[in-house]
Amino acid sequence: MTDIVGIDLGTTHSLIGIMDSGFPILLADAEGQRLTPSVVHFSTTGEVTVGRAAARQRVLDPANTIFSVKRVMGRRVDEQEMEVPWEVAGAPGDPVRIRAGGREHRPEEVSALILRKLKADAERALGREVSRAVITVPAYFHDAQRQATKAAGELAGFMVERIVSEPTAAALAYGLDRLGENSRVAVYDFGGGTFDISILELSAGVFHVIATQGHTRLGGDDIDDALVSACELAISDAQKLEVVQQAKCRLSTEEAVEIPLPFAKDGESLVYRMSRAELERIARPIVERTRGHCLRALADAKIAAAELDAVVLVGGQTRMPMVRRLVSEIFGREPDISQHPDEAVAIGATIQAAVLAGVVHNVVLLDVTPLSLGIETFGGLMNVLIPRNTTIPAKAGEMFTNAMAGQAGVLVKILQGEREMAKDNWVLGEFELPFEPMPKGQARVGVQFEIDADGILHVLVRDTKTGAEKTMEVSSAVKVEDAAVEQMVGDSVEHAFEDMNDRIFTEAKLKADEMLPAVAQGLVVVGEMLSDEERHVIDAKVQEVQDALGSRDAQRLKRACAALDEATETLAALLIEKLM
Amino acid sequence: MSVVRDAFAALGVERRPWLDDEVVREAYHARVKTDHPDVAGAEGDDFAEINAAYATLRSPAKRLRHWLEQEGVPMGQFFPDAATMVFFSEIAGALQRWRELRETAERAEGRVAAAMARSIWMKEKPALERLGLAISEREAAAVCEVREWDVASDDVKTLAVLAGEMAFLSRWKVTIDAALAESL
Repeated sequence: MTDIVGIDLGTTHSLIGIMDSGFPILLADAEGQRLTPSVVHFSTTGEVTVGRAAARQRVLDPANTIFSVKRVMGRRVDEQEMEVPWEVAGAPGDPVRIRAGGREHRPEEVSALILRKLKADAERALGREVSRAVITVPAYFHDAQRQATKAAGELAGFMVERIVSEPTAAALAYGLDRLGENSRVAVYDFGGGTFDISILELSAGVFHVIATQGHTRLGGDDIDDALVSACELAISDAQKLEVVQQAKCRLSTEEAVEIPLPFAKDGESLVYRMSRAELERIARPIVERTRGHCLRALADAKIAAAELDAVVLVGGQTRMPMVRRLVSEIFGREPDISQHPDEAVAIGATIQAAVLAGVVHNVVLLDVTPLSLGIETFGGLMNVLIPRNTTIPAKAGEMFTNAMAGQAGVLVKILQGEREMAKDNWVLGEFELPFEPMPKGQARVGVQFEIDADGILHVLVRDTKTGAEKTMEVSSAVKVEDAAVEQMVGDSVEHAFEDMNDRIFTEAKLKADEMLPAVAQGLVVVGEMLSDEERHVIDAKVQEVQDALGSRDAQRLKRACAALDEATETLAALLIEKLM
Repeated sequence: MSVVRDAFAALGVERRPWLDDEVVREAYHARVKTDHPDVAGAEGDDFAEINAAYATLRSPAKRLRHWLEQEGVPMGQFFPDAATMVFFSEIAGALQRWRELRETAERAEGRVAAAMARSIWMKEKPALERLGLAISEREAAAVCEVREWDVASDDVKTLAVLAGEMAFLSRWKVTIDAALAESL
């Protein structure tokens, strides 16, 4: 037995495993369950519960029950798009802090509590201490998210031996008994909170990722949220969430469900009804969003879907029949469902742990960096140093010089992302690079950017004169004084009221000016394919927009435009069909 | 700035402008199995260099350039003939149109306007795909020339010019691929 465990730290569930006489096995908790809900409850009296016990608090005490904490790992307050029932503390630009049980917690602390429970469960099952771990992250996690995950592992008392991408881990699980084959596979990983698609080459034990794509905020949670919004029963959101999740899971095998909710509201019993067709109508836009990522991954890998040998499904959401249909449509083949959707990633992490421990030989994982790494350069552009899909570990160097005589240094801003403009990318951090006083263009300092096998960045500065190397501390770019930020926010709010109406009206008018002729044109092209009623509704909404334009009422115009947009949904669909 | 000093030595393959894909891959995999940090531990600390060497040698254009650098031959100036100039300006025109139509589609407000703008934009796709394919064909032809170039011959100038042409082609190809990916 090795002493390194493999952990899948999932958005909704987490698992832990270890290699035992050549086989990866997942360890169960005291209740005999391998799947631990990634939920932590903080009571106001200071008690902390984790896992199944915490999940039971979700309906009773939603404000103090933290779930899907993975979605805010390594995130800042202002980019936290997700609706959460718990309170998020901190100024815009600050790392997210969660307020629960009367205290504030960092996401990595909450994750550490989950990891600590897994550690205790594993130690109980094995009867000895475990202190080293491989932990998985979504392939599309950027540097800060990976660092936060590593920090969570360390807080839980682990030596984190490797951060490994989830789809890559799943590929290991898939490929372990196919080591002799040469093949190309795609792993479609649609989980509770994140979506990843990775394309790999498997060749005599070498698992080489060629391309990876994904979205760290696209998962089953989004389908749940959409179902909750569509649910009209008079019950709390936490109750809705529980019933829609149950319905969603059952609808993978049943055509329609009726879930009784005894004494749900003031002693009255209710029934939640949902059909698979209705579920698919609600979930379709979310599931459809995975298509573009798949196509881009294929384009990056420079292979056609037909050249793949298998498309492996993992992640709980791939149990949904509609997801499987979409995958077979995109890739033109039936997906491979040989892997356990909830367990494949943890099994892969366990295999990788065994590779690192030296117990599994002839297996090597070659992963890539999912996002391009670069620095901000003249004109606010991003200069790419390490392109996305570069095999890690990877490094690149850049020489910096002084633009002015005697310049004391230069601020180097490190970015991750694919956009041309620096400001559109994620700012990883920045550091001040000092120069010796020199005439213009004479100072020369080489900086080496290295992405290690965990996908985490290290910056090394080399003095060309002395040859001395020094590791640069990259401060995460969120360290603005709290007070300064509050001032900035306060200022913008004060100014905002003065011109708010004007600005909104101008924006809305631009939108109306574009929509009206487009709708008129659309009606000419495919108008006769609409029903009289549809036509009538559109005409009425067009009139509303025209009336609102005359009124100078910004909110009214905005509403009218939104209503027209809504009313022309069928028209737009017909147009796309006709024009493409 | 490349970090590879000698990619041929790093992978332990013959120093030649042409190498078989399979030979390069096998050499890399051999290094992976002995020197990857997962296998070798901390001693395998400079695997980034092996990765960079593989990235260089697996691409015919990068490999040729690296070989020329090693031989101390400056990359040759590539003077496109008239037909090639026409071809290149056709690409530039198509990319320009593509960008304009994309911007219109991205700016479009409302479902109907967006649908119309997108469908007009998508009509440009086959033209761009065709140009991408034409570049691939030229790239393949250039790769063939490199392969047929006799190692014994000392006419490195031909190779240097080919390297220049391949650099041109691959830049256009990358731009077109990136543009096409925007529509996915």
